[in-house]
Amino acid sequence: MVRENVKVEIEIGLHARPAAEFVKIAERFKSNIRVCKDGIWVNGKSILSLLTLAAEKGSELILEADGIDEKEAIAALKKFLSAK
Amino acid sequence: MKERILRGIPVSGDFGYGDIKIYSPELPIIEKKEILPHEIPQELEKFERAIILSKEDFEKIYQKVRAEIGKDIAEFIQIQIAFLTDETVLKETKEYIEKERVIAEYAYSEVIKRYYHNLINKGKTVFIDKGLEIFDVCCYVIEKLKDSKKGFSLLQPKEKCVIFAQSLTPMNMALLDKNYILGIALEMGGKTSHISIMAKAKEIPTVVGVEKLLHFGANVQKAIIDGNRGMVILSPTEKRISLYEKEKEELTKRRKLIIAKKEREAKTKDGKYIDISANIEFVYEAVIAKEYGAKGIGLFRTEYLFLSKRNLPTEEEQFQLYKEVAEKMKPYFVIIRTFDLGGDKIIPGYFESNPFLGWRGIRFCLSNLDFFKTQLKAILKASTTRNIKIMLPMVSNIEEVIKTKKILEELKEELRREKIDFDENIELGIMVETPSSVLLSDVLAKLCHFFSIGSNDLTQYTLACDRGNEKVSYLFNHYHPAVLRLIKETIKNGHKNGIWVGLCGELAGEPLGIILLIGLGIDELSMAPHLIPYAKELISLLDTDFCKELAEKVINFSTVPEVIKYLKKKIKKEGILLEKYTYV
Repeated sequence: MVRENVKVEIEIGLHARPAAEFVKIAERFKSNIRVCKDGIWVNGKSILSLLTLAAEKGSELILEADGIDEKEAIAALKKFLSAK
Repeated sequence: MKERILRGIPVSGDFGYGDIKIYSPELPIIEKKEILPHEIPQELEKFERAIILSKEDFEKIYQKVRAEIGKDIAEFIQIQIAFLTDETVLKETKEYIEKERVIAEYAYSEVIKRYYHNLINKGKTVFIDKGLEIFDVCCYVIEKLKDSKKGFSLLQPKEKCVIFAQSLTPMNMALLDKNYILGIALEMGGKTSHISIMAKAKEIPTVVGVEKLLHFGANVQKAIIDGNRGMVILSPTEKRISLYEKEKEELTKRRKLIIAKKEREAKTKDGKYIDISANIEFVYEAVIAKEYGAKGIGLFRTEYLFLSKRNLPTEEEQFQLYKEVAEKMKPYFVIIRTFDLGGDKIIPGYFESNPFLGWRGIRFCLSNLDFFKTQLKAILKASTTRNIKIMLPMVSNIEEVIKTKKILEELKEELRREKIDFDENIELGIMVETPSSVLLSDVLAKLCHFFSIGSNDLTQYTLACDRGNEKVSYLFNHYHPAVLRLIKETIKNGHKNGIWVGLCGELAGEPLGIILLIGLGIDELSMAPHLIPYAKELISLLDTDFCKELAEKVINFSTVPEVIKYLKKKIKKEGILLEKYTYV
């Protein structure tokens, strides 16, 4: 299992469209993906769960991946969230 | 059922008659029905099948929208597909069915509701807005589950219908298929709200601001939506329907005659040319504009690019779009208005108590320089077509123009260094839509190549009235002498400094407005594409001296009724039948 902290740099936050893209990336990996904001953990492959986090630009998230491709998954998702 | 007439604000022409479909952002209420333990597997299978079938349908819609409207809007449907296939929702629904032993549609709607409330509780309009779309997809699934006609999707109505709703989002509007949607009636909205502008562009008969529409329409089967008169007629009588049909027939005939001559020049009787161009928002509208005989794009709104995207649209994405529109419009000009976020075009995730007086238009751009530079650079790169002009929204002081010009020069220098081609002579103009920009138009005219009067906002700011606020929207009138005087001042100062002056608000598409504006010396009129043939027809009958006399007279009046009454009287005397040139 890998965990990493990441700051959301997406201008409009983890809004519906970016959340859909996030899920798309997450689904490319076999690992289980979880995302945490303010102590609440949700499934990273579920767009509705991600939306309930209401993660705005600048919010701090914890990403967690667990599985055979966990490292690659974390790297790809982190890149997506922190790309300006 | 007895006929009942509801009144609202007329938005776009003609009438639509059909079965009423109520579009509600709420989930339909599903009755809780328990099932027997041995029925669980079959209920689970029913649920899975409904999801698969719905997904297939939405993928078809995606392909269709992508081909017909464009990739950017189609991406939005992919979000719907993501909602549809959300693995947590699917898992939780199945668990719910198993644990509670209930029918799938009940389980599913309960699970969705949970998420929706969670989103609402976050208090983010942005997310609530998305909630509407979640429900669109969910209603669709529930319909598949129930096999009933109750729930329905705006995206894919099964048969032709008229829509009743509280309000619709701009994205809803963009996706509506006008072959199926015969009319729209909304409780919310004013004549010049964004939704109304889109309804006009789509030519869907629309009435907004209808009080208690959903209350009275709840159990009614059919309705006529009369977008000319602003009426919604519930359960119309046979006689009424045939009257409308007759009227439509006549209108269609008249329309054909006018449209047949759409390609002609817009020239007055005494030979003065007026540039007639179109206001557009989406790339596909450029084609429509040309079909209606537009000799340019007077206003290409670019906000939707931002509103529908993750992050900012990249330079490359913007470049492609601008270039596509410019290529399509050749040899005519395309005026790209830089992002005008704010006001009624909400910046996602940002709220202010008085958005119309707040962080919008050029103010927003100048405080987000990276964002602004990306757009300007994309425009410059696209300008190799040599027909693009840049226009700045919401200018309220001189510094905003000077700053923008400096940025533009820096970007040009950058491109020169990188040896990238662009139009060295690209013109920069401003929207004149604040009273301060009018009063300083003598100075501003020396700083730019053209003015385009944004009469909707100018009216709003001059009369201090929010056109979207139903309580005060009655004050909004662009024939107000105060507004007309500002328009006159702008044109005068523009011409004095050798630049052309256009107008791209609603006023440009109204017969009275056209006559007045020609009288005031306007050079260009930019309007919704379908109005163009009418404007040209009207202009061909006008004499500039006549228009001038009228304008000079009414500019000295002090009230709106005086202006309107005088104009109508004189125009009638001249033998011009205004109704003939009004798009209805």
